[in-house]
Amino acid sequence: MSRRGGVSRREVLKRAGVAGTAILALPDLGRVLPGTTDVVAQTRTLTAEAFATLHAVCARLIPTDENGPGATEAHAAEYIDRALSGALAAGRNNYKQGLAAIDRAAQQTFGAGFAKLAPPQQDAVLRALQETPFFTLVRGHTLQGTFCDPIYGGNANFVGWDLIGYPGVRLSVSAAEQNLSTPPAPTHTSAYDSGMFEKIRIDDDQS
Amino acid sequence: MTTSLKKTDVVVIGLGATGGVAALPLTQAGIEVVGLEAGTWLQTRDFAPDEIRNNFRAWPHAVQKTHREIPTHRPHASAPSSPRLTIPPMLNAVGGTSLHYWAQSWRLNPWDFRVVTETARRYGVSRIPKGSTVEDWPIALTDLEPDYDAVERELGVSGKAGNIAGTIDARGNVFEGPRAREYPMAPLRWSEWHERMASAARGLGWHPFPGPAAINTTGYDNRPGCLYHGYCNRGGCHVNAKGSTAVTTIPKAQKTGRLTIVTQAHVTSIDTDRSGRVTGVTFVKGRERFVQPASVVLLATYTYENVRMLLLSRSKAFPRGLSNNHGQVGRHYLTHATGGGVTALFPMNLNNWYGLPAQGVAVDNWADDNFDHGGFDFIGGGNLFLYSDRRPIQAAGMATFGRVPSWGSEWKAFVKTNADRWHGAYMQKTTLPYEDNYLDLDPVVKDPLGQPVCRITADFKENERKAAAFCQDKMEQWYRAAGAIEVVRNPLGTMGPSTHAYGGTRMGRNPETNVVNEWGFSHEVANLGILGASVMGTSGARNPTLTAQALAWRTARHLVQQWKAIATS
Repeated sequence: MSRRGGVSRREVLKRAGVAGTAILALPDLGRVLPGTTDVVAQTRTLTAEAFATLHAVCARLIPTDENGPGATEAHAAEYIDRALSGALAAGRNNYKQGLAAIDRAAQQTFGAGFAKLAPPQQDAVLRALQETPFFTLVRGHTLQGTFCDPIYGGNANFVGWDLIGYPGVRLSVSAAEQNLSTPPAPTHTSAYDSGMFEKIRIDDDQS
Repeated sequence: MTTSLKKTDVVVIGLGATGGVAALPLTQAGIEVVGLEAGTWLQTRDFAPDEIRNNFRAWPHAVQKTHREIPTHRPHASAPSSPRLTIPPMLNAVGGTSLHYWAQSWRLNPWDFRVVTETARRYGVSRIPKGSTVEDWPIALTDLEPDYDAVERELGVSGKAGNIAGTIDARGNVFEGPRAREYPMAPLRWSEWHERMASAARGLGWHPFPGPAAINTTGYDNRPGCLYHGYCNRGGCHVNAKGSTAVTTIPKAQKTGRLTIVTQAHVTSIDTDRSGRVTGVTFVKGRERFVQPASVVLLATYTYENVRMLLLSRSKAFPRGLSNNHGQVGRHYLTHATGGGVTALFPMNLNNWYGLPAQGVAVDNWADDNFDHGGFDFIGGGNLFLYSDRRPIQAAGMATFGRVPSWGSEWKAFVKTNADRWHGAYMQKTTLPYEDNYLDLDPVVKDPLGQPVCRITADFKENERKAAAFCQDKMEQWYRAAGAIEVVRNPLGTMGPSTHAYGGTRMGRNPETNVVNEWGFSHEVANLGILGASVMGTSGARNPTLTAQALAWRTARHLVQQWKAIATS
């Protein structure tokens, strides 16, 4: 039953991937993706279905919990989706296949796509895959998307830097600010806010 | 179609850390120099404090020649190739990797020039590891001292001398060889954390001191002192406090009016005549091909490209590659054993978020032959270096010391508490050259022009592994003495592409086993000089750049003195 439902949903999502906004009408997707309207409209690389899976994976890697915002609030999945059309374009196929494999594993074990599972089920799926190269790749990119300079679309509202206590970009640091006893207050600025630096062309930042 | 350019006195291939240094004494002596550089000029506006850009996406973002020529690696001749790196070790730009290096600017210790003689004298010749091709250098530290002194002044090196003409000063490195005078500038400052680590080292009876760096600590040569803002690791300096050749020796050479710089020049061969002298170089810029004739060629790319360029430059006189009639090009390759670090966890925040990799506490007690190896089964050792520098993605990617999984809520709680409580030691260990560690051309992988890339066949041997394990013991002892609650040892890694790559065009008196003579000129080609760590036959236990730069200065100085003999014979 749930399996059939999953397949059906996948077909809907597939169509929605072609015809952009249709997906916004799906009530259960709104539950899966908080603040979904913007998010889905801005998907650059992945299909809506693949993005929903990625988003759910990121949310388990760095969960929103009693320690505050996580990958969801940092927009880590959005960072990855964007980079897959730029600097990380070479990894696009890895993501397509890797996210599909996670959904397949979710289907096989719990009878639904990964994004539709409850967090403990999602964790079980990820634990079974945590030695795979794709898991390592996604974990690395989720860290990037959560703790990068916000110009790349991740670390939104500096939630990543605040989580680990990074006091932020400064262009000059005094001896007192380097001392053990006096960690400086967070600056909450991007490297590029000062106007001193050339902004990189993020979307064609191929390397 | 090939355009032949006007002949010049000297063509320098690569205007990086060494080519950019050599250009200065040459042009100041009235010699016309053309510098061919694969990269472009970069400015302070290109040096944003941005971890993604610097450390994950092969900063800067322009696709570079070096990205397309990343060497392949296999541990030994019958092993399959290792996975290829996606980020090249070096940078193409005017100033080269000296723009974004750590700028640690060490002199080698006296032992590093005399490994064979000193080992035989103190322990017996049987202690030279089996299969090693190590030789004494043809010069001693005292021969290179004036050149070290010159480049320390030209670049602006900060530090604290430990041995001025034999007078030992415990505020500096008491193990260093004698130097003529103090550093041009005082060392980079220490934070409370540095002081704590230094104090722990003293408690163990060791001799901590601040490491030397080509980084201003005060105004010097119209450039300001360091602002300690971080992002110096693979990042350029936004105020030019870092003494890259792009802001030091190259502009000074330009002021003479005798340095012509051609950027985005991709050199494809060094050309020779029938007599076996080099006549100039061929390069591609855009879609055009040029020949730059010159009386003297100085090859100053980097270890891998120096070797590749020679092997690609075949001719009737040199059928196996330029200057390779003795089969020595590519031999005696080694990389520093800079892997095999130690990571520690402390019970309090360290406030290591700012600073730079050169701002550190060094201990040399366990390096080189600074301690008695009579009771050990290896020679050499390592320099232990602890610095202040922490970037957010790197911090969050910290080791978990087996305490929590690598993701999820438990992990998140762990990094929230500990992101500023861990530290990784930088330990550079002696590496020796061996018969079966070498560079050649890859039979399969080619660059976009169809030329094979460099292939590395090399692995660490028993001596390196023992020295590395010994240094890890010492480092753990130091961390524990400073209050660390967890310590893990990291693997040594491979001898694949490295920013500390040596050999391949080794310097020595014997042409049967070395490519260049004691002045850095080819044994086989009188008017070909080679610059860079590719001429070094031992690694020492410290960063190579200042030594490579002092050798470049020495080669240029020799060329000036012997101009007629070298350029016209």
